[in-house]
Amino acid sequence: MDILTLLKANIKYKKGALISVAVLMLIVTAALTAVISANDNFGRNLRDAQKSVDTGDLVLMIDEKYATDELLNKIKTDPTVGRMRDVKNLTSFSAVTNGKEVTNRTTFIAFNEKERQFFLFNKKGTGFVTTIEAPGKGEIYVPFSFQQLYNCKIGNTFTIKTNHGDVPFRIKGFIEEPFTGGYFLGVKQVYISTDDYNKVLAGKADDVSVIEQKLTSSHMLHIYQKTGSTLSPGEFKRELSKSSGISDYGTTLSKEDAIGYTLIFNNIGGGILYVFILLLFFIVLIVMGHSISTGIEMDYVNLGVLKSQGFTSKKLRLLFFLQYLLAEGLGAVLGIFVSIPFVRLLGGIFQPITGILATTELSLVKCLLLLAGILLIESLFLLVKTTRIGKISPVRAISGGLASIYFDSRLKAPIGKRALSLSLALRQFTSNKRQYAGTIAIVSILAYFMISMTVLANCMLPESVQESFGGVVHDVALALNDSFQMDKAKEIEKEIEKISPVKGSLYANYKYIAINGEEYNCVIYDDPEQFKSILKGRAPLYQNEIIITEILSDEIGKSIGDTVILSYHGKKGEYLISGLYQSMRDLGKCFAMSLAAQEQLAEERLTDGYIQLAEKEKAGDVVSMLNEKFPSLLKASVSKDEDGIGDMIQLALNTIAITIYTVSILFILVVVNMVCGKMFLKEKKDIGIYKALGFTTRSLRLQFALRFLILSALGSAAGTLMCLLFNNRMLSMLLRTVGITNFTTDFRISTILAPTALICTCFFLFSYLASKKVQRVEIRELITE
Amino acid sequence: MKDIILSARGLCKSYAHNGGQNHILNHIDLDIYKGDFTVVMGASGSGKSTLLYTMSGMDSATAGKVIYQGNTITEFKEDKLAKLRQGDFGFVFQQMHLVSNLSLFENVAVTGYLNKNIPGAEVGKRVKELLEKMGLTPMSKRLPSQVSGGEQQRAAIARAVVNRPDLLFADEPTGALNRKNTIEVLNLLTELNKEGQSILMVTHDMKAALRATRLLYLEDGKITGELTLPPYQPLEEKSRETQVDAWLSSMEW
Repeated sequence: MDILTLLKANIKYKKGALISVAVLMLIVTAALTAVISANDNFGRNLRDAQKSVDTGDLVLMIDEKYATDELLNKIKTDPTVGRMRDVKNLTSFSAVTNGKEVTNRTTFIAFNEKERQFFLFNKKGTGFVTTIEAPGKGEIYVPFSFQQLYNCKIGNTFTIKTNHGDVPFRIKGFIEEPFTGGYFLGVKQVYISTDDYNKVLAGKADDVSVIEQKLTSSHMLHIYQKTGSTLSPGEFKRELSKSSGISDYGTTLSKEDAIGYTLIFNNIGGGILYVFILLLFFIVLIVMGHSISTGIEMDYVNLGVLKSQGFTSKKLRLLFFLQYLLAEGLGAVLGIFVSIPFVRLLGGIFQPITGILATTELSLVKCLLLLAGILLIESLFLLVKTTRIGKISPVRAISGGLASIYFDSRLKAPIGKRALSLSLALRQFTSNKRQYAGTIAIVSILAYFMISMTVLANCMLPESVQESFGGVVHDVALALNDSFQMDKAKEIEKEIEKISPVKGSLYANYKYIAINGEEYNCVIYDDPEQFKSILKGRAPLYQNEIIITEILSDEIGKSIGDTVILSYHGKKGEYLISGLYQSMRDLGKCFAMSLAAQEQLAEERLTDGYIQLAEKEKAGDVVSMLNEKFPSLLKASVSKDEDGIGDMIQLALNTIAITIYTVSILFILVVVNMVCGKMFLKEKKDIGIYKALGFTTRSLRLQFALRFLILSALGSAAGTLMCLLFNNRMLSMLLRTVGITNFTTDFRISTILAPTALICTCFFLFSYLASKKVQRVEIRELITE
Repeated sequence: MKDIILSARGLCKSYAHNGGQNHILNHIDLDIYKGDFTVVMGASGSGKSTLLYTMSGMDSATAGKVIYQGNTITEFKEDKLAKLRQGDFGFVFQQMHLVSNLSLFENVAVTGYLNKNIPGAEVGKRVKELLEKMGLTPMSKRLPSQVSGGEQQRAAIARAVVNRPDLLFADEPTGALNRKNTIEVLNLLTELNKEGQSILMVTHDMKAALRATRLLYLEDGKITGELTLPPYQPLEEKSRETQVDAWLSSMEW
């Protein structure tokens, strides 16, 4: 009962500090619950949808010409395979929608109302329609990510270019296609009516003899692992490739890889936010530690009096423990409720990228378990922090308490007439450094994360950084026809030079080639010296050399100096790994070789050309000229950001950065308010003295704010240093999932100055506002009657 | 005829208390003269400190006015009052109230720096002279917590006079000191008064009261008695004490 009475009184007396702790805990819980729930929802919805549409464990996308009965039988009868489902389709390599060229390969599948092929979004994109209307003549259902990829709307046209003329469709609706419907996947499944499929499209498919195929008959073979098989998805794929050679004939994608690619951004965004939340949790601990220490210091006399009245240290510690735990518990419970709109917000960000319906369920059990863990850690922390109560001597407390004692500091700066407020603020800081250490640590954590996110949000902009991620910087893109040969390149560039000097050119091809039986994306450059993202070793200069990414190196267990067997459409060759590089292509699961090296496997042409102009603004003129002069060789277009991170990703990164900025500012607000409140109580007498000497409220508030400005500047400097030391490592770890294994931060003054200036401004402003209480300090309080 | 340095007219100060009003100062009319060492005495709770703080503008008045150099300072806003404290008025507290993280030198200098009319170098010179005069030069770099109470109070007096104020207010300046330190501080104040410094001090210490050239007695929020004395001479302390004692007895002290 006695403890309850004290608890009530303490909560009332310390409500400011306890509310601050509750608010911080609310932010941490809300952020954690929102991120966990959003990620869980997408993961669950995606898996459920895959189950509903009966996606195979492994899907082989194969041309009609290679889908022989012999191969299909081999697959069906493989001991690892349970069953196989064949989905016939037409694959388009050239299409235009909403006036934009479709960069994905598109597979056309005939709508079948008897089986669940996809889910159809309602017009608002907020749910599914219960009955899917069959597409009519000339109508098409496209994945939801088309809205983001090509700004498509219902009613837009989707035109397939075939060698027998264009075939236009009208977009009837957007679908959730849970296998390849995500933003990052290079193949997209679209659905048309059976009539259109058979009568309009099938007749326009190219014969196998056509070299430049635009529309081909293909199969999507859904292969299911035998029930009870213990093989991992990777092992299943390897085993099947070994026995049937499927990788030599088509593109394979496992269900698990599709999930990985679809949720890639959720995982990156989630990873960043999890690390951020973890650091926020540390901030809560620092703030609580500071609050408890100053609380004990300020209540020193009262605690001594209570001890003299028979309260044991244990009871007093319990008192502190309960009041902070109550505040945290309250914040955590409220945080769960507050997270609901944020789950929706994150869903809104990720739905266009994943193409999966965002739902708003809360992962309550998981979050509550995590929160219990957090509260447990905080409880232990509280127990440790309150040990000081045991050292309070009633006699010492009653005879004057713990007066604030300041010590001489080596950092002591002189007090001068010039910049008097600043020098006094500096003195306040230097004479009581320990008290501010926690605040500096908080600023450094926030600054670190804000700088890191600013770096990440801007990282795709500089060309040098793009190149270091395996991208190709160019102003004009060339889609090369079959008739293109490298000797034509000089002629083409000579014509370009008439309009603008050519800064650089590169001719490439991309295809899936199997390494030791497993298929990976291979980048082929005419000039291997142009691989600029080599991390170790050297470029693949010779005919028997390749370079691989670190991710691929880990996956296949091979590194520099090792040899591998490459196979493509039945041809094989032994190659030496000459280097490791990084590339975001296929999320880092790729390798590269020179055009000469590729000739061991296939005598294929180059498909893509990249021209970098000295006068970028003339790209349009160059494109017009090329399309006019070389229509049989190529189709030129002004560079569109297809290799790098698109607008959507930039937008999502910016959104995460804004979220981190917003949460950081909220934290600053709460922390400043709390620290200011404590400092104000502690320095009330000094404030009164300064007022009695003739300092105005304004100048005292300025002193207060300047002190926080000094703190934030120091914290920002520490955060910047941390960023210089750890940012590359942290981002490399987080971005490994997209293929970046060696993130090199392009530190610019603006990426450091913008967040640190914001932090310092917030600290200065918030502390100035929080110091309004200075106005209420009466000099009368110095009177001893 | 002495010059008036500060006047109170109909000065009242009341506090709300148990639903009613507690009148601490009750329509006080008072003039403080230039060059005087005015000491206000009275029983505990008679309102001595309140009178001092209200007249110095450190506390607001409920009614009435305080006039300084023709200006009603009871109507001053914070900025003007701050300006007054920066140069015209000096203040010494019972509990010294030095800023704990500033050295004695800095505590004195900060007040000087605040005064825009005194150049920084001049402030430094004055502070050095004052600390020398107060015998604080050896400990000028020490923090308040590193010196004795008497030394702290001497530093507080130095701080109060560094801007050469027209009037020095002192609230029980010896109240927290031992006998030896009390005498030191009183000697200092007497010396300053002899050099022309006007002082208004409240005390209930007889020893301190002996230094006055004008004694006022406050009772129930009103000035009920006044005694004028010649400037203090140490040799006449005994007879002075008898005189003051008799006067205080007549005031029912």
